[in-house]
Amino acid sequence: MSEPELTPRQQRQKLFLASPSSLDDKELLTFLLSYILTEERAADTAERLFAQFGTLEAILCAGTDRLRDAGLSDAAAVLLRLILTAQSVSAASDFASLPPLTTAKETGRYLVRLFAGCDTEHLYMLLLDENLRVIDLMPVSEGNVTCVDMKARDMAARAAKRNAAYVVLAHNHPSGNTTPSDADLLSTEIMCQALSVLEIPVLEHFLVAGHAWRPLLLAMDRIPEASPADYYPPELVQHMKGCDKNRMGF
Amino acid sequence: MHHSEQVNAGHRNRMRQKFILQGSRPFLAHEILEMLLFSAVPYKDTNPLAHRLMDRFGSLQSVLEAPVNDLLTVPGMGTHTAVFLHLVNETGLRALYRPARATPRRYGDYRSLGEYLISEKEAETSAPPVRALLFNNRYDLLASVSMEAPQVTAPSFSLKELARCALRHDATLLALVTSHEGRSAFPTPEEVDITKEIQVSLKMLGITLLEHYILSGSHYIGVSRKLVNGFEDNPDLCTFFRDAPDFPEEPV
Repeated sequence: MSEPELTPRQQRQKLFLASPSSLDDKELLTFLLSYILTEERAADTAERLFAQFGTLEAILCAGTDRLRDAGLSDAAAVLLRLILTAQSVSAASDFASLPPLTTAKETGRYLVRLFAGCDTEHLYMLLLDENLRVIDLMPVSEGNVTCVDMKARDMAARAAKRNAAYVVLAHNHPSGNTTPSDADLLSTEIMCQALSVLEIPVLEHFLVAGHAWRPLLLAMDRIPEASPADYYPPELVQHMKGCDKNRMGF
Repeated sequence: MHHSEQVNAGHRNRMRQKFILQGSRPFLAHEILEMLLFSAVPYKDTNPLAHRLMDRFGSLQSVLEAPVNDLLTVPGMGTHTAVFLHLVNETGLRALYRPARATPRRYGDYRSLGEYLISEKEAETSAPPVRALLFNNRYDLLASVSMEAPQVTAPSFSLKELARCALRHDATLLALVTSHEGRSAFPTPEEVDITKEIQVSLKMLGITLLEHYILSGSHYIGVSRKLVNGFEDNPDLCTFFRDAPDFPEEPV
């Protein structure tokens, strides 16, 4: 008995299940869209989106309005926007089940997911226990374009109430720019000082821009003495030393 | 369509419209999952399945990371839907952690935007004398709008229209372009003053004036280069002007 011929969709599913990396970005998007569009329309739409936006990342970050302007139905635009939203919502709601963030690299990787697809500036405070497990995640503020304002007292109060051993600050630059502004550096300074009264060290302040992140305290040569051993892998320290202070990202 | 299918279609539509208008903020993790499942499970209410998945795996992240075979053990899950959830996760992680070749931004800095404007001008026969390019904060060009005035200094130039237009398009970065055909690209003192005014007014609305370009022939000069003081606190402008030349001396 001969094997029945597979449709393009079934072929993609077979390849995907064998190894997701065997589908390139466009095939992956076509496969995803084929859940709500016919095979032919899914392929056309993926083609069109890549022509307009360039990369998978740009398509998924585009936002529902721009996707609808590009001719997508509400259902398709919402599906594409939900892909990165699912990552950021799960990162924000499931912090309690995270493994400890024992190095700056693991923290940076987690934060990239937390800020996935975010198109406004947000500031988060992560509270960690002595084993560097995240015990609380506080969204401090959402800025409009370039500024997030710190609420030092509220943040210190939360850290005290939760008995945090360490604090990690994180904010994002939706523009993809990993250069900190003067306000970023000043706010880091204010929080470090406020929390030093409580003897809670700010382990790091991460600036996240798309897939890139930058540890500001390390960049400023301001690593707290109390930081746990091995938090900064030697290659990261080396990388930051070799960087132009104004251009680095990791 | 059965009555229950109609009810579900209405529910789906309401959730989607809420997401389009308000983003993810009003939604809980299981509701995001419920909405994702709309694409894999037509017609049926996906809320109970979303809850079963969350109960079984404990968190949205664990649901997304679950192997297909584990997902299949949840009642109501078929291969079609299990593969879909796996695909959603794979696509998201790929976009986040394996950034495809860095694509140079066409408009991300003073020079490339200036050169783009010149090349665009050469390709077009009748560009409006004053227009605004609107960008989101990823420097994606959202719109190019004609300002219906012969000069920015003309009484018919409307700052109100410019601001409204930018806000309507959700733009956060903006570049103004003025054409000086037949004369030098050097800005007049009035143009410098009004650029400053526009910059300050837009800033109050959370819109950054990246630059006001003046084009003449194949030359361009940015007026903001003459004004910028204190832009060091704006990382967007720092990056934008990183490799820009100094403002030229006034031609004799």
